[in-house]
Amino acid sequence: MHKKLALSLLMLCPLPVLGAAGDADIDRLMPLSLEQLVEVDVSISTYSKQQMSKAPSVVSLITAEDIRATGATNLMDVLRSVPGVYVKQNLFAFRPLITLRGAPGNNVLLMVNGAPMRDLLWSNGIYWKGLPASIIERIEIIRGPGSALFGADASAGVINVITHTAAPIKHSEAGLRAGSYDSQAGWLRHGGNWNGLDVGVTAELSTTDGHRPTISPDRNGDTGKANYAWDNQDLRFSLAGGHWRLLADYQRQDDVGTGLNGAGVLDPLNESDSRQYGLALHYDNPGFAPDWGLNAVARYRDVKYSSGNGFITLAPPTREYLDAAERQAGLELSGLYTGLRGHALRIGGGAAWNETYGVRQVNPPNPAFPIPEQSRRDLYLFLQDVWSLADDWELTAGLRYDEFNDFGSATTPRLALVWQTSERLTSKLLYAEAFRAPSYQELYFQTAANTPNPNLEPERSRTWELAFDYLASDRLKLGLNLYRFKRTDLISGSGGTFQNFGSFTVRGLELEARWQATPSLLFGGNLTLLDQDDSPAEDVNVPDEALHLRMDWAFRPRWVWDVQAHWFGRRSLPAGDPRDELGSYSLVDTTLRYRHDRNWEFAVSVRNLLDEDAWDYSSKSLPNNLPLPERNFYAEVRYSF
Amino acid sequence: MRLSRFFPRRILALLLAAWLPCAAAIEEAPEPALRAVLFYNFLKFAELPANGAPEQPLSICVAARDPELLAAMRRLSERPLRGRPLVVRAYDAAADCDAIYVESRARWQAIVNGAGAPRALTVGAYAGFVDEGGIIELSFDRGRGRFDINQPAARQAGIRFSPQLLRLARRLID
Repeated sequence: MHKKLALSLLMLCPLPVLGAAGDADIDRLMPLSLEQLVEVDVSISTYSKQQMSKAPSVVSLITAEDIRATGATNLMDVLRSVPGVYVKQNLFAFRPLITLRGAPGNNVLLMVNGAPMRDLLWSNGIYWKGLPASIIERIEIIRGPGSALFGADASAGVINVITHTAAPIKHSEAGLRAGSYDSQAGWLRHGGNWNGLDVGVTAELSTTDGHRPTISPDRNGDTGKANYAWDNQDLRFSLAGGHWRLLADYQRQDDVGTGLNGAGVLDPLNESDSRQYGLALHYDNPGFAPDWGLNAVARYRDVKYSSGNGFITLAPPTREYLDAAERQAGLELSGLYTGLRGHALRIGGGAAWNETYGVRQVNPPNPAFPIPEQSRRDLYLFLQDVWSLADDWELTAGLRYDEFNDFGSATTPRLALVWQTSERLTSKLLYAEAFRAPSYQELYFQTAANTPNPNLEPERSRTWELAFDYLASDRLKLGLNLYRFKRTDLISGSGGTFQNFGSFTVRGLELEARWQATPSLLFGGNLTLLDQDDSPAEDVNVPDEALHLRMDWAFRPRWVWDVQAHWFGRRSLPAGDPRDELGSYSLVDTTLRYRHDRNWEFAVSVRNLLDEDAWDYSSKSLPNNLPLPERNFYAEVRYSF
Repeated sequence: MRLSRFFPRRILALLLAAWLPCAAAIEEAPEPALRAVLFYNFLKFAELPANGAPEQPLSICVAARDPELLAAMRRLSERPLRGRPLVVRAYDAAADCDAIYVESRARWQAIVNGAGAPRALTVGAYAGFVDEGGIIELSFDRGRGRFDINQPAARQAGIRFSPQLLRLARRLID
């Protein structure tokens, strides 16, 4: 009987919910002995937030706890609520294209554990559909230019996805999820120790039929459902010991239904596939020598795409085939010198190399446009100094020089002045230049629509930003930033041949708030406003206004209810498109989570709860746009051990 | 009044058994709160020079500009130590401090250049603090709090530490 009583009392132990308010954290920690205190881990979220709040940039941080609370199952679900981001869905394979601050995806550098995910042929892969949420430990997003640190394609921002790896994996977890569209997923995360080395493994397998929107009609006048089914495998392995870390990953997308071809013709049969694997060896030693820290990384990645049973052609209806692959290698070395009073000086350099290979094209009706196999090499140097000018002032100055073998060089400076204006207010003034490398298609790839131009210059950009972080109270945090983002030497193929021309300016405002109303109730939200130049360079299907609201409520011990509402304003169509612009739409997602005990957790989630009729841009050649998923749901169970 | 009159021993034992796993279950905490509570524990295990009446407040000075850390440190003022209330404020060269939390090398250099090595318990949050005359260097290694102690500097400031604290130090300069 007493055992039963003890058990029932044990069940009264409060389980951690949400990011509890500061008082509660101190209350929780105070009773611990010193021996226990040195065993407490800094929560990743706050640790990283601390690091990033000091960063000389405007940053967003999304943690695994945020992802779990909001019910996101894919990276793209997560990015949707970041200020300035709009994820467009493409007609071809329902691919997500990330736009940021009005700039298309080739201005947003996406990295996984610091490794760029871009490729020469298709930017982020022709069938790439994001990453499973179960592998993500956190996402660090620099909203603003990042070329002075990260090189090409970072004019609008940088998204770095940090996956669960060895040492930080503290809990093993297995999970199963099933829901609408015959979707199923299973995942496993495990961390352990082997011969004194930390070992981490994550795996997720998933399958879905996709939301099968009705296309009425397609380019040929036929009506039918677009096949957006796909299967995904994501396996990751990591090993860490001393200053060394080895990361290996393998991803495969099978039976990817492209739905429609690029011309807007329904293709119910196509099942394409792609796979990639990567290896990275990191060495990080903050105490390499007196006053010196050292960081080094060597990377290799191989990506392969196949059109499977072929894409349907416009006319006559037959099949065309396209297979291609790419190898990528990189090496980077940098040192942090802290021997000068008030300065932290980072100096480094590296080399990156990309090469396409294994291109196979079978195009019966029109064999005129072969894809040449090419390579690109980038040698670079960078220097950055963080200078503590005075107690409350810090100046960061950086410069990076990139030398490419195909289109020339780029020099990108940055300056950031951070002023701790008061105990509660941080002010930042930022200036940075950045560039986008001309794509492989723009330089070399002849298509029916465009002629390449090997003499293209990179697109360049300059951004000014003024940002404020204000801790209004211990429970209310506010952020405001204003920016002017000007891109020049834009590359366009509208005249047939790709050329550098003109410029495009966006002025924007981003407002954020996070209010921990009570220890169990959290409200958050952000507002994005864009004022874009009225110019042909404006990217289509990007809203000028967006609003996101979120509530997390631990209404009972063990229960958390999350509601998110996303509203996107009207979106323009390309010049010459006779249809009306795309209307605004709002999506409401809600997730209810129940933690039964230390092992078991259950959740149900409804996406697009109000069954909003939402559309993304399709193609000029179709009378209607692309329907987004209607109301759908899933249920999941997790087991921690 | 005996507690056991109202709660039989077995029930008390069960309550204790039920509570202990809760206390031990804290696996993660935000960094500012953990810094503040570790700082409080350093004070708890330090014998400071007798520079005031026992009932006088302990003056805690924070040389930091991180708003969240400042907020966490201010919360310590609600928790007296050995009967002495704590007064937490931002560092000011004119202030009389019993303990100083120092965020960066720049702040430490400004303190030392301004008034010389303070006669107070100094806790620094940057690598190399104890090598530059500081008393306790607080750092985080793989997300867990670690500290180094500079005993000669402590002795010079008239501070003695309990063996319980010294035993847990990662590095002890003696």
